[in-house]
Amino acid sequence: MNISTRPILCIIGAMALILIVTPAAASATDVALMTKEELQSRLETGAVAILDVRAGRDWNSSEFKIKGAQRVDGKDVAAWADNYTRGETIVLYCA
Amino acid sequence: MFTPDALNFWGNALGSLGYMALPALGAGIFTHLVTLGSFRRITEAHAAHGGDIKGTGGIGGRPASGLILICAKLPLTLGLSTGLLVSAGFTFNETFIYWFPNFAFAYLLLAAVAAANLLGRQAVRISQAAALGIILGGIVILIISSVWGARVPAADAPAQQHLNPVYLLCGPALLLGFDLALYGGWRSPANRVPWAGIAAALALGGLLYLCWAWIGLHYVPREKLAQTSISHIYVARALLGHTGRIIMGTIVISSVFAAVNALVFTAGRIMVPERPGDNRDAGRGRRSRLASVLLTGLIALALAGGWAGEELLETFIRTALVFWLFHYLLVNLAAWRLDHRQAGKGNAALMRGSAMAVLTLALAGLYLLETDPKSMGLLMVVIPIVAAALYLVTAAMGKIRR
Repeated sequence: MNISTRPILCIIGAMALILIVTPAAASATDVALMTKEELQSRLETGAVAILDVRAGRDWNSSEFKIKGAQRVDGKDVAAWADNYTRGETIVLYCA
Repeated sequence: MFTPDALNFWGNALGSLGYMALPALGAGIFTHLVTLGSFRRITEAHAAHGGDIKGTGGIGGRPASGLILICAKLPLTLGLSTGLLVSAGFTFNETFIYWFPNFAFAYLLLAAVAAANLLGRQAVRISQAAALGIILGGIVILIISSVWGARVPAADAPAQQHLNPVYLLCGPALLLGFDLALYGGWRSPANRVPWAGIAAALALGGLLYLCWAWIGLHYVPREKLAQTSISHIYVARALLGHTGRIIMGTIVISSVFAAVNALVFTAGRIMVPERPGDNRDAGRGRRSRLASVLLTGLIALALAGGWAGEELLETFIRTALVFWLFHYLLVNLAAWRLDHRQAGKGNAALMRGSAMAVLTLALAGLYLLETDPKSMGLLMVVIPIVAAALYLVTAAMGKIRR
């Protein structure tokens, strides 16, 4: 490989990674988010249950956990759904 | 060596066993120094024919030793790189820039690794040296700061459920990965493998872990060390508060880059066997670079596929660690055979035998620490099958080219 092709391959590699990242980022913006201020106000009134559904590295690597959040398995809803009444506001947060 | 996984593992061991964990560190350093000597023994004995693989080929045949090498390096490259990049992403998001998406940073770091590997061996070495310098500097700063800090009262034993004597067996898992330096493409006399340098690095690593043990046990309650998944951050925070978090965050990101960079580079070289008559400076180098970039693509797919959120990833990583340590066992066995056949090599054979015993215990320890042993058992069957298929494909491609 001559020297002049290396930068081209670097650019191609970087573009490929960007192409992979962009759809993921775009899909994330399609999901409605609750701002932290709104969540904070709801927590203060006690009108919401916080469920931490992070798993694996998403949980292990994070330094911050929301105070009062219950950690549950997001894939096994049946295991914890009965702990909450119909009409109760539940906030699930993930990575 | 100082990845967030290794630092946290050490923190959990200290929290569980206190100073009783130190013999595990000593056993790990001893084992790796002996293993390094074994690598040297078989490499020099078979220098003209691919050193490592040729040397271990005497145990079960060249294909089997090649298969073990693939099982040892490739799964950990894919699995651990995925996990570490996610850890780095979280660290960057939670320590430095809160609004920057953690997965985006993980991809940026992976892109940096891909770029370094595309540019070739020199770029990889320079970036490694820079990353290692940052890691060393950061840890030294934290260690020095511990001299003046406010310590917690003497560490009490943690609650019963966090006491786990299995940590005593797992010392070799701490400094695992030193052999990646052996695949740095050393060929000419001017670029001989720096055996003494690698040994010094192992000793230095052991010393730093020893210092970290003292700091951890004097600054963080054992209960917290034993049960957390981020013991290294707790220690840094206890030392210097937010400044400590920033320093540890820098260490984490640099160590993740260094680990992934080394894993991808080495795996790329292993996936591309040497061919007789090949122009080593161009042919194999080019194919290795492309193989490394392919690996980064696979890691990117794993990230995009959400592997990091699966508990199975941790089982996969631990299974890959078992294969890596098994490769060390094989290397020591091969060197032991060479020593056993020669008069006057009794002490060397004894040391290698001791190292093999420690490695066997470490394999057992990793299995006992596993929370999902059935999945681990299944992976221990699946990984060699996939590796065998890969080995056959690359061997066939090599024959077709000839």
